[in-house]
Amino acid sequence: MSWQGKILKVDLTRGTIVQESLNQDWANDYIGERGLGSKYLWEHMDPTVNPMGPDNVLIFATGPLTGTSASTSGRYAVLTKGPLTGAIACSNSGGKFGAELKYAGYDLLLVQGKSEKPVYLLIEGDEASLQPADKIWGSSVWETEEWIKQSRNNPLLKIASIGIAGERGVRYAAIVNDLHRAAGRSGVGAVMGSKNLKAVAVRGSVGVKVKDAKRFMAAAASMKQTLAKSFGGMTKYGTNEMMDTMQEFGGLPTRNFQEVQFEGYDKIDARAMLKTDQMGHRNLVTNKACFGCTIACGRIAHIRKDHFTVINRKEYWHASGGLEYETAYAFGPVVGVDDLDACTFAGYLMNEHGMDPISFGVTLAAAMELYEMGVITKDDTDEVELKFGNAEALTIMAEKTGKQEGFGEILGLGSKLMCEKYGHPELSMTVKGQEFAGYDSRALQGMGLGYATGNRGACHLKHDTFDVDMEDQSGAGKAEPCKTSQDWAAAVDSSGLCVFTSGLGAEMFAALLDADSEGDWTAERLMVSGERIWNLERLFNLAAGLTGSDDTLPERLLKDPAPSGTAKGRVNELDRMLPEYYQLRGWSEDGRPTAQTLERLGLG
Amino acid sequence: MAAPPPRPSSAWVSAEHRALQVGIKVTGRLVDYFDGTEVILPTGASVAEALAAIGITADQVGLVAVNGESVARAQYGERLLGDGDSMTVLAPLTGG
Amino acid sequence: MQRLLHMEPGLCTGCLQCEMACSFEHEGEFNPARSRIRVFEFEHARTSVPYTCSQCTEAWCLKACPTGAIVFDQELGAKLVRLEACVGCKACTSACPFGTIEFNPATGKVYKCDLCGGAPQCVAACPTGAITYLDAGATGVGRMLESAAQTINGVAT
Repeated sequence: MSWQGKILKVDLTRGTIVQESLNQDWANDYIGERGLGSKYLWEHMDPTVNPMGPDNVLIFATGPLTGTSASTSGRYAVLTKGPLTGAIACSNSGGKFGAELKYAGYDLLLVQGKSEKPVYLLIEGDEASLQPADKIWGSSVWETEEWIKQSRNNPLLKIASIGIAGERGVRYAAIVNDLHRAAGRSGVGAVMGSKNLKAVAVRGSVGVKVKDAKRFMAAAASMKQTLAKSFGGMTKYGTNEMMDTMQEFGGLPTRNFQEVQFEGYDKIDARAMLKTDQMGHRNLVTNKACFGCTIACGRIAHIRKDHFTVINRKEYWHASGGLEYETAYAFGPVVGVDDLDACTFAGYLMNEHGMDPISFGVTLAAAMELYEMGVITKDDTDEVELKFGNAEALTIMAEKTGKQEGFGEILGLGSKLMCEKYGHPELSMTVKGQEFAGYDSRALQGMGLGYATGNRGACHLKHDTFDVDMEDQSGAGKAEPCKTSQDWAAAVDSSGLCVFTSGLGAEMFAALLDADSEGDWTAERLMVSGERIWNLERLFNLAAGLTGSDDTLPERLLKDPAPSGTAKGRVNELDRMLPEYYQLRGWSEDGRPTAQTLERLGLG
Repeated sequence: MAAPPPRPSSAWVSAEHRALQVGIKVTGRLVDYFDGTEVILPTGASVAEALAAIGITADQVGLVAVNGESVARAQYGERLLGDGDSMTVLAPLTGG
Repeated sequence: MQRLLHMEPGLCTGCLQCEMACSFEHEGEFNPARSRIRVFEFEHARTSVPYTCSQCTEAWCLKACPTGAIVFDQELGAKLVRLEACVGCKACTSACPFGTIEFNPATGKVYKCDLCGGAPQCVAACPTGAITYLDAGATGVGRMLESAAQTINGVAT
């Protein structure tokens, strides 16, 4: 029921592929996907190993709801040790790949070792094999997808792959599936590249069943109705709907977080994407859904053919993935650029070459600040004027980084290593080495706490304090909602559904999961499981050598007050929130789960 | 014949009939409910009444700010608006 | 009244709820590989197009079948596979020019869209109305209406 009951273990060093039964006890305790994958990771590797070495383990994990007709049921997570952070990486993706892995009969894929030669993993029905990838090593993600489908004569294969960025170890290289969806953050693509694994291609025909079909359909229908009411804006505008809200609120990180509002915001926000210009061109072509999703927040856009980025480059005249909020922020305000076509083009390059737009944008922003300070010059940057607002610099550098050419090799290190290299570590806007998403911690205090305590570094998706952060811009009362929402997000991330359904609440989720999966699922059990998952991730990080002192924010956010907006004059009050947070978590003053807490959660 | 009564000055007009002009800025999906730039309200109108006038309910709102200062949700009924005020109505943040 | 499935690709977001609903209805499990309706992506995944049997009046599959396993349901307008008579010869899968009748290796029989007996599940599952179940004699009316609307005031928009 809901689980296929099988996992696939691939040893790339030996070239072997073995089927194993799913550990149902672990699935019961860790729900699935993120939680289950973390448990498998914990049990199969030493957290101190080199993330780019053969002893790192790479896991693709589905959830119990993946592949069912619940809305947003296409999710899967990639678990590994992140090269960007040296911490646990759990990168989540949508599209169609995750559901297909389930339909191939596998709940989880565990990859170990390193292949001597480039290979791709092919799973067709009940046949799994490692195929030579020498012909596609050095190809882009898009070329790889096309080649594999053609060479197998199977247009229905779903493919997750890396580009040159992943092959060459860009610290924030991503795994891209279905052309424009990605397990984007923490450098999971670089891990895949370090193993000489170019792609995973799947097509299957093993159905997914549920425990109680009638109850399940009713719960799924009820969730769909509620989603339709609350997510209409996301369907029409995509997540970039948030840009003007963040601007007016005054939390939109601009020019490497020097400011919190961006004057060019309305040239690149959701409404700009819907405007038709005098030539009849409109950026947005249509919207798109991931597997099973009734929200369809995905954007498909196209670029004006005479724009500098694509003029004479016919290969980019087709429509492709358009701007969602994070990409718009990372290629807009944080680098000071307000050219919608340039931002869109940079977004294409992220999918084509397999990179995380957030980390790339914020790394570029740091480079721009270094350039404007005179620390680096045109001699370093291949004659490109790396000033804030230079749209050409954005797109040229995105391409160079994707292909690992010139200054792109430096940008590919991520902002932490780059800023350290140039003697200005304070300009790297990161936590645990991972770059911030598009929410300034001085304006959104709970977000800052979430960033600082995030197990995978600065991440905006692993907690949700938006409501309380907007209501009250001080650090008061943020620790509890942060902790609770972290546990809840861990549960949602482990279910197989998209984090955008988290607002439906634990009761609705429990009703759905209980009709889907063995065992009795209640709201309480989901929350405790979420807490267990959070603490397991923490244990991994502590074993990897991280400590409570890594739960911090850059000086800029702790010392330089927001210069404008509703949070003008504020800094992030982490020193006030963090001790309260540790206490609520049942952790010591230096951020270690106490023996009592671990025992309560079954981790002791 | 007696002179006609003088035109009433504003002092004679009851408070309910005076008007406020309030600039409105709406963000995110809320533009689908109101895409204008101002609203005329009776004097003594509160934030809650302004929201009603533009067709947005309190639960649809992420934050209201008047002249750059945020207004607590519990205060929507009490916070009164003045002529020439500028009210920003922010959509909730959803993440992504 | 005879009705037909009508596809509007412009409304399709590629969510595949139809494939899940169809396979669940017929196989009791979520299994897009055994769905009678398939959604295809074109132009670098810009456009998603649902496609299935269009219930030909003179059906190649019906004529090709050597055991008479494919029958015509007059009321529904559908061509149905009688599983008890199907021997899995797959002649119909070669005969259909559209590829919309398929062999299932697990059962040894073929399967195709049967309009779910008049309550097509793909239509119920589609969140955007990309698939509708319309009067068989008027499936083009919606598009005509949209085109006509563009000629109001003599100005094509």
